[in-house]
Amino acid sequence: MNMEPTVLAWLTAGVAVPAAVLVFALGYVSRAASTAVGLISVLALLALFAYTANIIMAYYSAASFPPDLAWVEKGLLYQRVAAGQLAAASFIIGIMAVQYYMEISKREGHE
Amino acid sequence: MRALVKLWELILERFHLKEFLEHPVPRYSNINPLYWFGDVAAVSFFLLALTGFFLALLYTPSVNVQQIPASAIMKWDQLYGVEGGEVSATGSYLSVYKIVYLTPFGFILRQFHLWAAYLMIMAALVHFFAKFVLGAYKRRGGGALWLLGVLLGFLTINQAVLGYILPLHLDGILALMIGLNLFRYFDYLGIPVGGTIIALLGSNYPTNEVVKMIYVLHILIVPAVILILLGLKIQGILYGGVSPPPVRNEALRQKMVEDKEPFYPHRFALMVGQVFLQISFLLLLVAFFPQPLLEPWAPGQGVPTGVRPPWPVMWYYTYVKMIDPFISVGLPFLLVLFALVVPLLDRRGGVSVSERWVWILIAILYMAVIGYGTVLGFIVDIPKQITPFTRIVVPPDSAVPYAGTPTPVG
Amino acid sequence: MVDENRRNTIKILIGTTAAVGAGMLATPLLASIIDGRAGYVKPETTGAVKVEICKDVNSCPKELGVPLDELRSGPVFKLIRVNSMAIPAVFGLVRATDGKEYPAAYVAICTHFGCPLNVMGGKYLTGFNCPCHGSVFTVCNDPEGCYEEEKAEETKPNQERRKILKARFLEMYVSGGPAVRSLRSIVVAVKDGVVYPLVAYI
Repeated sequence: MNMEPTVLAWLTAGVAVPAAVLVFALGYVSRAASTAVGLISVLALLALFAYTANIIMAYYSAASFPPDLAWVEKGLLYQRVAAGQLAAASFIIGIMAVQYYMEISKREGHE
Repeated sequence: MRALVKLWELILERFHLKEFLEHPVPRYSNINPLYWFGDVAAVSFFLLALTGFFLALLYTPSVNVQQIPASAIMKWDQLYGVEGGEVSATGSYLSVYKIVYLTPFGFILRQFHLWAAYLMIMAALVHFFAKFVLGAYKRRGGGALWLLGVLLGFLTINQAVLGYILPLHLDGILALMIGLNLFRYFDYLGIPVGGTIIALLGSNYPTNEVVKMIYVLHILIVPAVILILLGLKIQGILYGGVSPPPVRNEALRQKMVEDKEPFYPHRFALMVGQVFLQISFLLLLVAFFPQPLLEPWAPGQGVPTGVRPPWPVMWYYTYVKMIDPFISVGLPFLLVLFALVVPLLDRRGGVSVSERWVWILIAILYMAVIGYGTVLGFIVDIPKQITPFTRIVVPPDSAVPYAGTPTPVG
Repeated sequence: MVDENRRNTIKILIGTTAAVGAGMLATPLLASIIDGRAGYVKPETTGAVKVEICKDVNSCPKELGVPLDELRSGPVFKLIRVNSMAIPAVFGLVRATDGKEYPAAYVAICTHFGCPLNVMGGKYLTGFNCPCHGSVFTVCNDPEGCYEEEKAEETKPNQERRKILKARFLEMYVSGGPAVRSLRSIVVAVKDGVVYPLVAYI
């Protein structure tokens, strides 16, 4: 049985929000740690995305016209969860890139 | 790992990318938000192109009408209510319906394309305001970049309107019909607008050819022109530099301008970060604020009242309703002309805020005109002005459906 | 010095030839999208574009006509295709003040900014209204023409108010809202109980 979209959404948020906060905060302390946390959380989010994408591809193979309203709503929920997962992964990658820039543009005291 | 590094160095050398990548860029523009929005608009354009590729593969333009059951229209799409058991929809609408509701990831594609379009327009407007405030046209080469920028802004709004027409939902078809007939007032000044439209498009009412022309303009011709102008702009900034920081002290300004870093890896890393943060922002908008598809419409059906255009052209709608149409249909051209004329009028030196406060006020006024029109269009139903100036008696030939004496039938 | 001059002259000649050549090459490109369409359309000074649908009633194909029986139950919408054009036409019966019914057809595009019009009237066509900005068009159903009284400020002193022709018989004039000109009409003719459109004014 596939996971329900709301469950997936909470799972994604549970991974993404602490990870984002950690990566941001750790950046001020230790760049190595924040990069490590960032990479692991991105991999986790991409794994979640792969799982959701799998569900979506299977779900839409049963598409018919005119579609059932409830069926469409559930499909949209899955897609929105997938978008959220990609959003979280992109966000963490973006923060890591900015942190990298801040590191290499320092004049002294590189890690 | 070492092999990858060697491969990278080989690519850099053989494609002559080293000079491009090691080009020094100033650091002050990384911190000042006034310099960020041009990049945001350009990245939005490329994201639109990327999602546009996939949408273009899935979409088919057509005005051929099909009957679909009214239950197929989602309740969040019905802004004006769908009556009856069956609804008429055009082929284009059904194509977009299929993409959004029946294709895996089609929903994300279309929503991302929509939000990226809104972001591009917003970023372009903020970028225009920022460059106006900075007096970016004053430096050598700045006037040319300003001209390119105004043209790009005009083309961006064009793209938005053309793209909005393509699904041929109620708002899209109205936008198309109004766009085709809006400037017919100029017929009375002797400018053959009606004849020109029919000569170029073949019709002043939606047909398959007209919709196909809109489609080709939207996916091919206007993006090609935008790409060329954008390339010229990037060339100008890379070799001419961005506008100097708004600092009054000459020595400090000079020091800031000379504080540079190589494009790669410094600025490149920042750009990668910006791209991913922007993608993330857009995807969050897609996930939390998806926009409806709106209802279908086909020729012959009744049209509900109160249809408003999307926010990018809402200000035009407001002012055309409030002011005499003979004057207000030309409003966008007036705004573009004024924007083009600004570098010719503002020639005095000085780039700091305290020296430029007059022009900054003018910039704020310009944006306020657009902003006021946009907000007003959403919250107020503008009363329809009737001015005696625009009442024209039409010569009889075209107004009476008989070429002689009308004959009764009953 | 002379060499410089010669070089510049040659550059100008080559440049001009290249520009002329580019213009020549571009002409067929542009012509291909304007082909054929401009031929049969001649814009008039009134701003109306005259489009001939059928040469005369006898050569009109049956699909373009609307049977009178269908018209008697209410106005009929028909999308008329002529070459590359599509004309949204509304056919209807107008009941005149003399009690007779007259068939008429109009182009259902608002003359304000081009929105599609909604039909007003039940069995008989009485007018159109525009959903976009509220223009209202009403048909003049008086065979003598519709007149209105001259305004007080325009009346010459010691003369009574004259009547001004507001609209001719069967003209769909603007009776409210911001539109400025009457609706464009389609010249119709009746043959064997079918109403055919002959010429449309766009």
